[in-house]
Amino acid sequence: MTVLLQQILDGLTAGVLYAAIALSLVLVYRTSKLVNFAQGELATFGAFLTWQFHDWGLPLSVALPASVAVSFVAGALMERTLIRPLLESSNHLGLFIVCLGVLVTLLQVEAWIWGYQVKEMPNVAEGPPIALGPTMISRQNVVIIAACVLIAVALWFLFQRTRFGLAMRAASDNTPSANLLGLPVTATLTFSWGIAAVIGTLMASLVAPNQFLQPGMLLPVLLYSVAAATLGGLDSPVGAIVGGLVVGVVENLAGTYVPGIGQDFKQAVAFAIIMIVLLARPQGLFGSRTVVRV
Amino acid sequence: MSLLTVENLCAGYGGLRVLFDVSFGVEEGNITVILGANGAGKSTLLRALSGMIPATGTATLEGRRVVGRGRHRSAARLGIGHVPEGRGTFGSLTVEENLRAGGYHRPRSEVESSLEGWYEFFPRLGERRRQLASGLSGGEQQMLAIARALMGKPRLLLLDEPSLGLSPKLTGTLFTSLRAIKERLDMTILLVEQNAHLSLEIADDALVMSAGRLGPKQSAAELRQDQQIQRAYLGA
Ligand SMILES: Nc1ncnc2c1ncn2[C@@H]1O[C@H](COP(=O)(O)OP(=O)(O)OP(=O)(O)O)[C@@H](O)[C@H]1O
Ligand SMILES: [Mg+2]
Repeated sequence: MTVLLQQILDGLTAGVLYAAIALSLVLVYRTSKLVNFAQGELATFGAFLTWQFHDWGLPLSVALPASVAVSFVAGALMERTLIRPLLESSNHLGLFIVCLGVLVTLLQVEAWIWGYQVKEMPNVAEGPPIALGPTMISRQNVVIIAACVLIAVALWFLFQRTRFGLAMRAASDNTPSANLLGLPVTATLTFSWGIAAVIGTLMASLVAPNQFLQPGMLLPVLLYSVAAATLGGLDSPVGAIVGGLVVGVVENLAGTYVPGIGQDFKQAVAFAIIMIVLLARPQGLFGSRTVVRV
Repeated sequence: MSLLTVENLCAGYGGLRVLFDVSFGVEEGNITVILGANGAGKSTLLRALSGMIPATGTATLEGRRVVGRGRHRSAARLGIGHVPEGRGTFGSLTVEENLRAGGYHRPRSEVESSLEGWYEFFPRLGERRRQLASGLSGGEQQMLAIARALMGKPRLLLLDEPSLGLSPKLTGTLFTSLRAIKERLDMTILLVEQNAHLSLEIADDALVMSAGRLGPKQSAAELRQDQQIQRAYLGA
């Protein structure tokens, strides 16, 4: 029983990361109708930046906000320079290739600057793990969960309670109408890419102490996050969070309890989830039906 | 003087030319209807006027250019409210959020009072203000699309086949509302329609478009008597 509870808690902790990256994917998807496969590597790059700022002597409390700010600008610039022109000409193959190109370029730039030796990233919260009933959770993981909750609440507030958030939702719902009404459509696009990068950098910097900071750190995570976003419905932020947590728990339980899967085959679980969702319920749990165009 | 003056407007899609030297004027405070068969170019004309597609020639609204070089502002900011073909409501937003989006560039205090005004005018929208727009009936969607465009306080309202998909009875009700909007707000309306019968009832002026060319402007009453129009559109 205790093992099961611990597995579920570990699954939820892992799921929080999948959920956060899935949220980034959904933010970009909603405005650009594109799954940005470079999202995870952008996040890893952000974590390297945090590490670098810290290595130069800045405390984490400065290094992390600094790399988050740089990420916002980088995400926004990527949309402006690489994505916008191709979106305007509806060049979907081009967009796919650009995302792959960014992924590969980031991997190589990271390797070139920082090499493949794993970097030691300090924890934000040190100290002995905390007991939750019969289970244990590390302080860093508590911070990670809190960060994800904070991100979710902030996004909810942005979307539901601000004028700009209303424009973001309207622009992703019906772009021509949003243009007719004079909503800041291009600004919502740029902003979404910036925020997606911010979420990635924040989460990647927090998980880096557990995950071995090196090029490609989040490549396996990206796979789970794509599964999470697909499960939740690609255009639903709530779906991304629920999807992330479900994928985290399922992956952990399958790894422990299903004979033959073990730790080596866990990634196949992500693929299995993607395939099952696409076949059984293409719009996911919370997505809008119109999203899936065949 | 005309509120909207259009001269030698040409527009199309990529290599396909649809509008050929279209010239006409819309009088302030009038309902002007443009009749035409499927594919005549009616929607294309409205799209060109609101900047959804590029066009050449000139169009001026109260003396300000709305077509041609140097035009970077949205239709709403130029004083044009465009209710597109198929309504274009935001299905994943509530009725109220749709209306707020329509008033996006207006001061907050004005938006609140306009909202109440439109809920009074279209009580159905008031009752459903917290519902998602995708759950509305066709007639309610059309009301929402019109109210949303009017939330921007336009000088000119462009309506693209509002009767599409509505029963004759609902169309009648909707057109009565349009007449009321014109009279109460002194709104100038350019209406594009295939339903000649009902639209000529509420219109002041009428023009006929065929194959991307526009005929002369006539009074709607005059056109109702026109034998050819009766045969082509009124089923007489
Ligand atoms: N998005 C588009 N891309 C390419 N061609 C188009 C597009 N929209 C319309 N056309 C073409 O332009 C011509 C005029 O179309 P338009 O939609 O303006 O006609 P309409 O008078 O509004 O017809 P309807 O009454 O059916 O709405 C048609 O030949 C149509 O095929
Ligand atoms: Mg049309």
